[in-house]
This record gives sequence, C-alpha cells and structure tokens, in this order.
Amino acid sequence: MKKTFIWGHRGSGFRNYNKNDDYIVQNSMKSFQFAIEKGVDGIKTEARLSKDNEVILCSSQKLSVNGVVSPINELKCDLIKSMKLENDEPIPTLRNLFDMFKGLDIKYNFDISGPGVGIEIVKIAKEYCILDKIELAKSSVDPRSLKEIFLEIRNFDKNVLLANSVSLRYNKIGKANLELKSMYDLDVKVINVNYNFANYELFKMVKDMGFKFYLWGLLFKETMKKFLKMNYNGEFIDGMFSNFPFRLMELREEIQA
Amino acid sequence: MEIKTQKIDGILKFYEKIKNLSKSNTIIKKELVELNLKKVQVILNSPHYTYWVIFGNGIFNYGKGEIENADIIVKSKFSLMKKILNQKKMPHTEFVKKNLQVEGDVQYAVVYFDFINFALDQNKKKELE
Repeated sequence: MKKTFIWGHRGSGFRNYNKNDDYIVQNSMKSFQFAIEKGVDGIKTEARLSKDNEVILCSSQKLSVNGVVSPINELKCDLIKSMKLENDEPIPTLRNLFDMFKGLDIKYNFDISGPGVGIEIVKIAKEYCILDKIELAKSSVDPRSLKEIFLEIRNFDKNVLLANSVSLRYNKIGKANLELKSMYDLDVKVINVNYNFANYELFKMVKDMGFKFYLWGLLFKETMKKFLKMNYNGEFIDGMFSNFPFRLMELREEIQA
Repeated sequence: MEIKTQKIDGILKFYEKIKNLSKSNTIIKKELVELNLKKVQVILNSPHYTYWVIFGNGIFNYGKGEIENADIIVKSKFSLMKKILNQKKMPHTEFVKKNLQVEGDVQYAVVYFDFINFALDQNKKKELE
C-alpha cells in the first residue's frame, strides 16, 4: 500500500537544531537542507514575487526595510536577498532552493499568492526540468476562488499539479465547499484540508471523487496516529503537512510499515 | 461593578484549567515540551480586557494585563473568545471571517488554539473514562 507522503512545513518545521546546536529557522536554506537530510518526502513553503519578478520563499507578505514596511512585490530581489533571517541567512529564492537540491528526487509544494507567482514557478521548474516535482496550492486563507488563482496558470501550462487548500471559512467541509466545477475544469488534483476539519467521511468522499486527499497542520502524536491509520479501499491519506515532519515520519514507519 | 469584573476575569478560569492539565496530564505535558515557547497577547473588546498566555518548552502560564515582546497578538470580541474557549466556535473559521485578528506569524496562532483545543479534548476524554 502506498504510504502517506510527508511534507516538511517551511523545511524542517519547528524545534530543530543542527550539529552545532544552532537553531534552524523556518524557510531558510538550512531548514530545507535539514529536512532533506532527515528524509522528508517533500518541502512545503510559501512563494511570492518580488517587484522584478523573482520568486522569493517567504511566509510574510511584507518586509521591513529600514523601519518601513513594504509588500514583497514592491521590493526588488537584490534588496530582499540582502535582508537577513533570524539566523543571519539571506531570504532564499526559488532558484537557491532548486540549485541546492539539483538532481535529488524531491517534491515541492508552494502556497502561491496569485497566478503570477505560479506561472514564474512553472517557468523556472521547466528550466530545471522538474515540473513533475512541483505542486502549486491555493492558500486556505485566500478568499479568492480557485478560478481567480489557477485559471491563468492552467492556461499557461496543462501539466502542473494544482492543489485546492479548502478555505477555513467553512465550519464543516462538504461537497458544496470544494468548488467542484472549477476543480474539474482546471484539472485540480488535490484537496487539502486542515486536520481539525477532517474525518473519515470526508476522506472517503474525496477519494470517491477521484482526488488526492491531503491534511495540513498536524502537530500532536495522537492526531497523527489517528490519520496515519485511516485507510479507505486499501489507500492511506495521500499526503500530510506538518511542523513536526520527523515525528510524523517515525509514526508512519510504525503504522504504515 | 465588582461582580462585573469577576465575571470578566472568569475567562481566565479556562487558562487555569489548561495550566493544571499541563502539569497533571502526561500526554498534554509531553506535547507542551515539544512546542516552541511563544508569548501570546490577547486583547478583547466589548468589554475591553487584556491577558497574556505563554506556552511551549513545557511551560503553560497566563496572566491579566499585558506582556512585553509578544510573538503574536490575538484580538476579538470578548463573547467570541468565550465561545472559542468553550469549543463552540472554530478559531480558524473566525480568523478567515475576520472576526478574530492576528498580528504576527499566523501559524503560531493556529498552534496556540490547536494546543488549547487539544488540552480541552484530552480533558474531556479523561472525564469520560
């Protein structure tokens, strides 16, 4: 049976220290590298466009330059790269990430802030010949429709895998909240939900409709175990995102061995 | 006036419960050790009331008023926060609907509320046993 695919959130997630006991900051190259060294299946991060169209990997929509807070898309890449993370590393770009793991069999899932950044990711992924390793996701806090985020991207490229992180605005997730028509029209393959909203019935429904089922936000051992055990028609949940990916991997080895 | 203040302060009873659980319940204790230490400032309105929560590194603590260098600031109506703590409303949903505002890295707000819900769920399980 195919095991659940484990994504390290912003690299290696929370509470990681390297051999020198330095704290590993999320969304840094060290965090991505640590995640890969520890064997995660893929990396999940947020991608944004700079003013000069470079893809920046940063969770924050805005950055502070000399005390002035500006949206990333109003700042040039060189300026962004000169800014330091808490651990003094520069803010990484997509090219930094792809260069670092060139030749390795790693998947990447990017939360995108709009169609523009999605298209740039596709272009760069094609340059590196890794389009099949890329997934683009609409964020669950983005109020826009799937069509607003994905239509331009789908028109630009027919193959890139698209994922629908279902909006957090619904108390309970049912068919009506999945934008099914757009999912089929735009060939969106994945339904991704916060684990607090997930249950066996939803998993079953999503699989019966022919989509992949992902969960995000998993933190606690007990809930990880519950969802790792869940299977329908001989299939486990397809993918899980976590800030504790290594803990999830250990549990997967126990449960899905 | 005294009665009103006591009623408002009652919201802190939720946190006292979680503080006690974080010491007595092994599962909660273990999870709390795994989480990064974060300071949360909560600012409620209608009526105005502020308190703080520190969680992570095995610690859970809270207090009335303000805390310096909070990692995240959570703002909502008093009545909404009560419903969230009573698990009658989902914080995620209220955040997207903009009824709950978060300043700082939203992922830590998600972790904060997830931890509270997790602790309350664990407590319910214990009570049922």
